[in-house]
Amino acid sequence: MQGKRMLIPGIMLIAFVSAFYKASSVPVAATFQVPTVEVPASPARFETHFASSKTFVQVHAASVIELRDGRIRGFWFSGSHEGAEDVAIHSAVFDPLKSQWGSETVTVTRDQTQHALHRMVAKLGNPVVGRAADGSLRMFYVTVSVGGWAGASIATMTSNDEGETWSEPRRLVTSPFINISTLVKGTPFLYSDGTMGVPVYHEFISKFAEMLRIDKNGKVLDKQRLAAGGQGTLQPVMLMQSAQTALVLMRYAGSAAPFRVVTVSTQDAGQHWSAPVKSDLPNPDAAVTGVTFPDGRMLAVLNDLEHGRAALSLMLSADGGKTWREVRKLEDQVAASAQFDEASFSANVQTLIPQSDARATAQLAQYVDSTKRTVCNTGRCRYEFSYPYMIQTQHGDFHIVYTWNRTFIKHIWFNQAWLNQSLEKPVHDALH
Amino acid sequence: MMHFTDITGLAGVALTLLALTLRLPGIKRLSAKPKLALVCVLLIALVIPFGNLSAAEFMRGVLADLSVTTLLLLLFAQREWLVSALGLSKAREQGSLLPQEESGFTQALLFVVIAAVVLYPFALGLGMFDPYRWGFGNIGFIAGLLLVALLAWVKQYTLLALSISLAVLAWSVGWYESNNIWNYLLDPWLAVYAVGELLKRGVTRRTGRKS
Repeated sequence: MQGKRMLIPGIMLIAFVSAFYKASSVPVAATFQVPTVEVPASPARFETHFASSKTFVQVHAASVIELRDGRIRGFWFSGSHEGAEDVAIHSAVFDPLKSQWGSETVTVTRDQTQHALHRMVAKLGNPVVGRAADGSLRMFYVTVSVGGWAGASIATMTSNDEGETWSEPRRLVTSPFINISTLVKGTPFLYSDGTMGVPVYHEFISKFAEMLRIDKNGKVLDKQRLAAGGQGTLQPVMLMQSAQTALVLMRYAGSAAPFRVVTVSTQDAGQHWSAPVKSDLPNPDAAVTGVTFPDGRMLAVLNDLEHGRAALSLMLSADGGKTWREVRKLEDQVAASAQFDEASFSANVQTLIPQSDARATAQLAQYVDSTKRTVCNTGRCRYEFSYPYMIQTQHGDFHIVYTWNRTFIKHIWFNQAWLNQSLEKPVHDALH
Repeated sequence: MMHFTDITGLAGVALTLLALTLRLPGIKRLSAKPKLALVCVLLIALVIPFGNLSAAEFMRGVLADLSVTTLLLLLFAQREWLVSALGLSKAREQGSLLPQEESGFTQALLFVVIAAVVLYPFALGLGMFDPYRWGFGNIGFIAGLLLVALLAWVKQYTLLALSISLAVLAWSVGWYESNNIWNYLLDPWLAVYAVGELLKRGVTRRTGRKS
């Protein structure tokens, strides 16, 4: 009887000694690892392409990463429509020397994901990729088992060959509530100790942005809230200014005007965050993206509108995100949106497609039909330029990918020389 | 090759489905040996894939991994016939292998309800405070759990002490995919059950007093 009496304290002792030992090995706070950028002298360059090449599919939520050899690998989800069972994560590589995207390949499917995760998976979305401290690539993407996107969880996998092949996906557990409602969209980044930060967001019951910290094995070490529920913040993007300071831009999904990008900032590498404030940047409940230059200036890409996604702008801030000016309108079909009938849309898109990708001219009719089928419904067509994702390469070039009318992933490549030229032009847009 | 955490996760889901099946009226009344045979058949049916997924894998997508406390309480609910079917009756006569009814079932449910009230509203976005964050190895949180477990042991709420200790132990060894203690301590299904069961017990007690 005495033995049985001591069984519980025995289990307790083993459990808590192990727990305290494990807790003592949790990494302490670390500073941000600021990427190094060296800009060689080069002529101004501004190019646009379509990264995706499949037609008569819906594509969305693209991201890119620079490969070791200077090429750019893009990822997006593609299928018959958003949320469909046939949606898979696709990838292609852009070769700057050839100024051309390679063929599109499938990185991971829903079937492969559910097989590897050993649980039912109904749909996939939002792939983003970061480079881990050991040089491998780590992808995060969204999976949903039941319901809509608010029921999402994150899967992660790694690649040691620059995205050619990938490990089996594993599940991140980030929530106490059936592990649902953590989604990813922002660019992952590194802390000085080699752990990875992943900007994520929650959508179930209330919407709020969060930050995950992941160890080298893909285990979640920490989750930190950036804004309270009810403040309508989604899809945070980190604009790192130094090892200690960063600004986070967030999509505003709230219902209270004005509809603006919401920001928070940190002065201690993310240990504490300021209260969320609405910036001067308009936001029609749509994703934003941004990067910081080594000199502290910031670039952002967003729908510079309070409603709709018919225009997309490149914005610059020289004062740490306090004020912004428009560098260039990357897309502007606000006026054309008034002519929403199929004939007007087709005629306009016939012009837009070759402007977006000169190579697309060879398949213009097919591209136009594909676009029409995706965005036109009962005779009404709607322009959409959304979900921008931007990176800066080690040599200072900028690559932006975004959803072009849900039909293609468009890629814009420009360099510092082009940006400097653009900034020298008279500013015709009012400062925000 | 299957990961260890997939085996444990699927085993938990399969055990839960089995335990719930055994609560069905017709099956509940079966004697120990036929019940054990039925459990074996059901277990095989749950883990064999139909199409792309087994029933356990399908349900894991819906339920997620179940907390250690859920599994312990389910095991506790099945203790009578399990002891008999596994030939442990003699051992049972000598002393308790599994905690008895009076050894803290209600207190364990109460703990689950309190934990759920502390955790879920805040974890789902009420304010900036997020207790879920403590679960990633916060020393103070673990110390708090140790205190509750010790208190439960002193008060002889064996099931509660065992639930907390096993959940903490499972977290320490990485039993599931989760690296957060909360996922081992409770899950929403258990919280809903605990609320319902405590209400039922409250109503039964009140009705009993009246009659």
